[in-house]
Amino acid sequence: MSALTTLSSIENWSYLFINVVWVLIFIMYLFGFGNWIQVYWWKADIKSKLTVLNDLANSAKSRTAEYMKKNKAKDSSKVLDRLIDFFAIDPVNIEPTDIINRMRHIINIRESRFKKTIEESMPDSNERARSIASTATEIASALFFIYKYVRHLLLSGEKTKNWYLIMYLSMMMPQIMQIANIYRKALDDFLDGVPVGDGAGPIVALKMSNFNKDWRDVDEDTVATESEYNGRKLILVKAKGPASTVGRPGEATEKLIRESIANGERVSLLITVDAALKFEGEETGSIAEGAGAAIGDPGPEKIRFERIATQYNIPLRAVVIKMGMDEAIMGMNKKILDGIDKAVERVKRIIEEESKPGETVFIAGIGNTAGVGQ
Amino acid sequence: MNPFSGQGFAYQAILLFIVLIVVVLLTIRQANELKRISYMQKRPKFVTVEDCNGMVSTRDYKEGDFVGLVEGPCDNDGNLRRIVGIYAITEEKKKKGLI
Repeated sequence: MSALTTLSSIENWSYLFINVVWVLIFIMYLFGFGNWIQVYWWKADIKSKLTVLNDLANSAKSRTAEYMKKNKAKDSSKVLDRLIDFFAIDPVNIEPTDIINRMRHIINIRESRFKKTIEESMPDSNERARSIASTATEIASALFFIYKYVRHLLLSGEKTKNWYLIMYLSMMMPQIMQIANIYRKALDDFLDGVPVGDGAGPIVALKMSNFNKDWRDVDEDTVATESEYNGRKLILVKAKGPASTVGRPGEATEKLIRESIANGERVSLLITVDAALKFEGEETGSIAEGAGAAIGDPGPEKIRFERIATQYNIPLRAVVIKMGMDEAIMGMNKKILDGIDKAVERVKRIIEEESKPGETVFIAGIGNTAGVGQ
Repeated sequence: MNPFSGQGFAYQAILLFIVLIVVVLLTIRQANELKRISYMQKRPKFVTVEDCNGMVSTRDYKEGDFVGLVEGPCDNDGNLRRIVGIYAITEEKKKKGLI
């Protein structure tokens, strides 16, 4: 009887304790305990992903340093430390006069500084290796930027007790992680020297030239050649490969069109061919055409196409090969390679329909020409 | 009926146990997600496409290959073997959903 009473007493106290816990939880929820747990969970999630972001950035940096050392670089770690934090400040845009020239000036300074620093570090390696190192450094720089920016938002959110900022960041983390992973994988593809999806435009130009070998330098990292198609003279422009560069196709095309017109040629068509981001659900490697300049630069190159075409009333046509963002910067896949052949056929059709024999047609293959020579 | 019965206590304990299990499962799920997104995916295989007078063949990609590279004569007629493409063999993911 006594043992039963003791047991019942323990049960009573336990039951009371559990009920008190439930009531306490309920009261704490009323005063925001639920939100606190939720924010704590979000923060833990962000912090764990931040560790992955840091690993991705550091591994990108060490892979780039390894590549540079393999290609006889001096002080690769110091060079990387200097370039990874290199930035360019956008020109003033509340006064838009001459903004394109100012922007071009800043972009050119950034590019040449990057190039020069890599050149100084890798004087005994070839142009291709240096350009790959430069692109790899830019990718590592982008990964460090992502890591630092996410860390900044998390710490700012914690410091200012801004729960909405932490919630928003937590919701955005899956997408941020996807982008960072794509960059990291793209780095390996660039270091391997294979063509990336964005190289579709330069391959179209190369195929339209029938792989002729008479390409000449016309601008910084940009080459051009002449070919013939059904009585039309074709002038093809692309970045100089197989180095990893996008060149200056707008500037080069403008220069060549002026030369052609000065020589009395009738320029009847200007076609730009580039990779374009597809909508989700669209097929990779599908082709579309339109009007305007198909080029994804911040502005200085694109405006050259538009200005020269407008000045001489040349129809400016665009052919794009569709792909996802990941496919554009990662090693080219079979669907994109097949899309290139379709793009070549489409360009030929446009030439036949919109120009006459004896006229001159310009074709610019836009994109990164890594792994695509001439 | 005694409200402090052993049965009531058991229900409470079971409820707490279920909450504990759910928390553990959610934690494991998050850990697996991190594992998935971390950079541990194998590299794709790259293939080089060659052309010799219209005859297209493929081989494994090797360092130094690039599109447009002339590898030398490929027959007695003086035709050249040229690289016309390089692509990655990627595993297709099965699409879920209605579309």
